[in-house]
Amino acid sequence: MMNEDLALLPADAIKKYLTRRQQDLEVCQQALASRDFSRLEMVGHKIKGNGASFGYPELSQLGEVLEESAKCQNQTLAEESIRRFKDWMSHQHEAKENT
Amino acid sequence: MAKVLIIEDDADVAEMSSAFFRQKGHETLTSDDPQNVLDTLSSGKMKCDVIICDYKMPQMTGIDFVKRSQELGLRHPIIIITSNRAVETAIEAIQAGAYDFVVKPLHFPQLFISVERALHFSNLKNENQLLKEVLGNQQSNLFPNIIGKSQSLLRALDLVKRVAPKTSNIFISGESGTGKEVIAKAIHQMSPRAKKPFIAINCSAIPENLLESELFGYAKGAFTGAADKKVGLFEEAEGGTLFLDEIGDMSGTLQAKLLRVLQERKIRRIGENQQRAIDVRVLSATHKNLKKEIQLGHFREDLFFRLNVIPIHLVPLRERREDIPPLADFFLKKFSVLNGVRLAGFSKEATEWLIGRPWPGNVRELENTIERAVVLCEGDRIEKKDLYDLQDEASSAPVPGLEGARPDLAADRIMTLDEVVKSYVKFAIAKNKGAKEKTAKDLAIDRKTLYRKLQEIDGEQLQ
Repeated sequence: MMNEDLALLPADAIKKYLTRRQQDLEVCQQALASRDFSRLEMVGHKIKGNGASFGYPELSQLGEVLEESAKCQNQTLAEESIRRFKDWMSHQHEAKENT
Repeated sequence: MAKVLIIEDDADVAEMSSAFFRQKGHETLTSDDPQNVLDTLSSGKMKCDVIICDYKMPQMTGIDFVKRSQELGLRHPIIIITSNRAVETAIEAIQAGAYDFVVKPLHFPQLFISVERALHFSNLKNENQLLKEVLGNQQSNLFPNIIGKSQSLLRALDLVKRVAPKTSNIFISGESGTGKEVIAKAIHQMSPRAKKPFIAINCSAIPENLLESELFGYAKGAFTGAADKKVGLFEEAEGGTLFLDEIGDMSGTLQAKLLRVLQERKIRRIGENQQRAIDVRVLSATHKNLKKEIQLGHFREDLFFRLNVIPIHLVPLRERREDIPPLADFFLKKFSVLNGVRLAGFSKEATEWLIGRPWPGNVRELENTIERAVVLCEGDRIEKKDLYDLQDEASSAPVPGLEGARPDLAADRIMTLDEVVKSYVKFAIAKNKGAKEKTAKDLAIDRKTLYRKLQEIDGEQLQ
């Protein structure tokens, strides 16, 4: 999605989207601790599907890796994906504070 | 503003799509349960103009949704949202009957364009459906444009069916607006002359000298201003049908000329000596009582017999009220299509009001009333108030039997004041069906004055 197209989207909806991703991050961290790979796969599939639609293609890529790592029950790769997800969320929070 | 229904199990996408289309001025509905959507749409509990449906849902796929929607006879355009890895599946959805598909990640401006196109397509489809219904009604009928089921109309149509293939002259009588010209056209269309011209002329609308040249034509130089020859309507209608409307208003001189043409089947252009043979079927009509006109010496009896070989009488609408609802529905559909609106029909009160009206202007007045109501209606169906507001205007239409009783102030000749007064008193007493007290009250005069006026105007029969 082009940046100018993003401007056409309602800001409230994007804000709500990011709040929900923060909740997803917390779900992922709990699922990783309990080795609940099916839950990780579900969250990964979801953000893979909708990230780019909201103007975040990197989040879709991240979701794809998370989904695949959960399918293979690859703990290391899943941990790495969740760490990157956390960094991405922090970056979004920082960007929001700066604006 | 349209109603967009979004079926999506991803709450984020559903919410964003909903917010996006609301921002664009549309109303939105969201659901994550396609089966429930099918149930509520088919039961009529929910309405929408376009559906956006995710391809991958737990209960059923987008293709299944499209197929079931088609099976239920739902006509909403459906746009399928699919991941880019399943384009083949999306094509399958189109083949199943989906309007369009949009690939994820969603590009909202693209989705918006798809929705707008779907709405446009849907409007065209609805319009087309309405037109087909209107045309279907006409084509399923032997008589296009003739709506009604009353015995009197069916009898007239049966007669039309039997006499149309013959060559006899036909005389159509009936009040103004009962559809005399429509019947004349139907006769022509059902006759072996159907592929030849049908020419109609209103004899009362054209001054006498012009009417003669219109009917018979003239030679070059026949009179001042005749710079070239002119072919008359009899010749133009060669092999076809000539419909002489309001023949009761034709002048005596022209009546004699017309009689000769009908007897000899030949015409002579003005200013020519040469006669020309014609093969024209003559249909004529008038709202006047020609027998009475003959008694008054205004119409030639021999011409009347010549024209009146087969008489067809069209009864006024107030005497065949069962035809009012189907006529009203027909005009509603016709004017809905012409004005690009979609109305559900008439309320019960509106229908009762339509059936109860006297309709002095007959079908023409009903048609005009429905047209105005369609244009002015603000709801999704025509209410009594939409028609009732027009009552004052409608009531100014001529009252049957009183045509000519009202003083014709637009006539070429200036009437004397006495003539106007007498004519108006006659009009008022006739309109009140002879009720003198009411007439006196309406005219704001006392009864004695009214009696004196009636005596003065030689109104024995009115009294």
